[in-house]
Amino acid sequence: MPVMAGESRFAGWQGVGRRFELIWLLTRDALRKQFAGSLLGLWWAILKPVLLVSVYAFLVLSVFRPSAGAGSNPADYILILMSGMAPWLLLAEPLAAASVSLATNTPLLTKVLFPIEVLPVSRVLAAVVSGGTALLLLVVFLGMQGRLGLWAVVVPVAVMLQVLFVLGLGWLIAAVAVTLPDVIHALPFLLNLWMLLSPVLYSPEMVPSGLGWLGIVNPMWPTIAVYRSLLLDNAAPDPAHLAIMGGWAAASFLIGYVIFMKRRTMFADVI
Amino acid sequence: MHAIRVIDLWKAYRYYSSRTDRLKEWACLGLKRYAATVDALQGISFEVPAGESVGIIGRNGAGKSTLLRLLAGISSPTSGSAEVQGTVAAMIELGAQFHPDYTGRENLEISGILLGLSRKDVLARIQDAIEFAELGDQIDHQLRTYSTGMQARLAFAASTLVKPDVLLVDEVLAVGDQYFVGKCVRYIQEFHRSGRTLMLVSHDLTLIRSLCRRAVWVDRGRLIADGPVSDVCAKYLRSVQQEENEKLLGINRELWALRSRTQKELAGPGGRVMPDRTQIRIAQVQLLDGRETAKSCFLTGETLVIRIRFQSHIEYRNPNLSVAIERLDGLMMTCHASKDAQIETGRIEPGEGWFDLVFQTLLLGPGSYWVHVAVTLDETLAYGDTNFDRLDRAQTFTVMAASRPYPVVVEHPVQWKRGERPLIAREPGPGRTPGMQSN
Repeated sequence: MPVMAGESRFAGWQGVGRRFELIWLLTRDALRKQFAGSLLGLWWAILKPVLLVSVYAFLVLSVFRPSAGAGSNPADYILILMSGMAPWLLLAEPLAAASVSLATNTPLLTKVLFPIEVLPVSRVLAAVVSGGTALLLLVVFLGMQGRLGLWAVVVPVAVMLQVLFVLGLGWLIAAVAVTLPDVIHALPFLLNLWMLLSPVLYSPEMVPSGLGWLGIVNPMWPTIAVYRSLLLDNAAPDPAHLAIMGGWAAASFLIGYVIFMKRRTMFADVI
Repeated sequence: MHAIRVIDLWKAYRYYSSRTDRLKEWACLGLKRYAATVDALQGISFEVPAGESVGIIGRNGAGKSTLLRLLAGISSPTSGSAEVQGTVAAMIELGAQFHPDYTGRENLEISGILLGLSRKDVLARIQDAIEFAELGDQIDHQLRTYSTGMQARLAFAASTLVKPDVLLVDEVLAVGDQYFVGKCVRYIQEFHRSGRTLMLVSHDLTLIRSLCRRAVWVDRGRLIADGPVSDVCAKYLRSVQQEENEKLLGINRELWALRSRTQKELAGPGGRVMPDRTQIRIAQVQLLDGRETAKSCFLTGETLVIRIRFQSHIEYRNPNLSVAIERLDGLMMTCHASKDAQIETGRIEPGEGWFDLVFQTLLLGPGSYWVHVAVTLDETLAYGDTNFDRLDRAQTFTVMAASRPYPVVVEHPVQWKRGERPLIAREPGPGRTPGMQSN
């Protein structure tokens, strides 16, 4: 059995603190890099979800013109869209960022001794911050309309569960992308597909009953449902939905972490 | 107490000729192997007590850097173990963590955190690192405005932020200006003097000799020798000399093959101007050692014989022979003409013959050299160009330092003498007597 060398400065409890310091620093760093150099800088974080929602709203309301359900009322539909897009961006942006987190940092992997598991974490967290502006906009929007209820206080819990889920998946994707960079190219396409199979552009009621199985295999169904009931309906979320979310979060986080840590020592050799 | 313990360490790298090969192997669940395995380390074992300084020497691709990376924990062994007691820091290609958009100071901060310091420690130590880098106001400018040398300074300064128990250094002192490199070497020396353990990988035997007490010679993943630095370096040098010698002999053979071809082309019909090589021709120039075996790589102090074989078609009295030795960078090291030495080379008959120029004890320091040879008329200047034949760059050879820890141009023979009595004793008095004192 191979024995790892060196008790590093990142060992033990002290190492946990160091990791958090590292995550904080690298997240800040990633955010700075993300917007540095562009003219509008941080404004892009706000502009992006606004543009995205506008494009989809135009597409659906002016081109497809659904006649039934929430889609028939433009004001309602925009809220549905925003409440679908907010949790979706909390998933898609971090995953895309995590996929390149190791591949773009090869010198760090091969030349510097440090806990590389923090790299995907920091990229995910930075993307959660920039992707989270959509959620922030939605909350502000609802607040201005006076539709924000007390249940909105629970939203951070949902965000936390989602972040755990995304962290695990991010580790997994980052680990695979090291040996198989094709993942980085395939990911945007897969994410698009995943979005269309999630109730982002539509509400579950608009889906034909034959596709009900989607709601069971796709963790984004309960997730978006929880957000919508908390924000749009100001009602208690379905406990089953919360439980499924929690289950996915725990499973993804643990499996992702274990696999990443098992593979981490070979990253330096593969690159 | 040992600081480093390596037991039967193996490291195999797997190379796939293409990414699809890797996929294929996954697809058939590893039942069929597509990878080419390269054993970078093949069962290396050694121990380093705390506070020792060890140099790792060996040729390119011997596995030195792999060993260091395993010790640093950046890569993991295939089998066996590489243990390090206490905190470890590795200087491997410094500055990998730098980002061009950040200022020098910000990059130092990030480096400190990456090296495992707490934010508080970084802020406490950063001033020292900034002073070490000696970058002045530039420290608060973006890294992208730095020259390569300045980046090297910042990179080394960043690694002075941590003071580990065990420091692993991989060939990082090769960059930067002379002054700063000297400073880095002194830093590492001081680091070791404070009782910490040092392991240094370098091609530069001079550096290894000046920083390390012990050396480990690794070749093709195996440990060849381990012991006092002077012994191991000498052994290594001898092996390198042998290999270098064979290589150079090959080069010289090629040189000759090329030359005889051009000579044939040159020896076409045409007006024969006196003198020329159709009269006396240098047929071959050989480099020999004291035992008259062909050699191209010498140690300072060995015997070098330059044998000039000629072919004459005329009778001639006292042709002048000249030999010049030039270092590859153009520095003329030494020049010898038989006429200068007032040697009668005697009467040359048509046919073949040779002259030897013997350097009984080669005084040249380490380096690579060209040998130029000419045969000229008797009545010309010693180095004139009225040649029968002249061969520039007839042969090449290298000289390696036998024992010196630092390279010199010339190993001048000297004598040390101890004064039996004061050399200058004009005013005998209570003051210090010049000359060497006996204890």
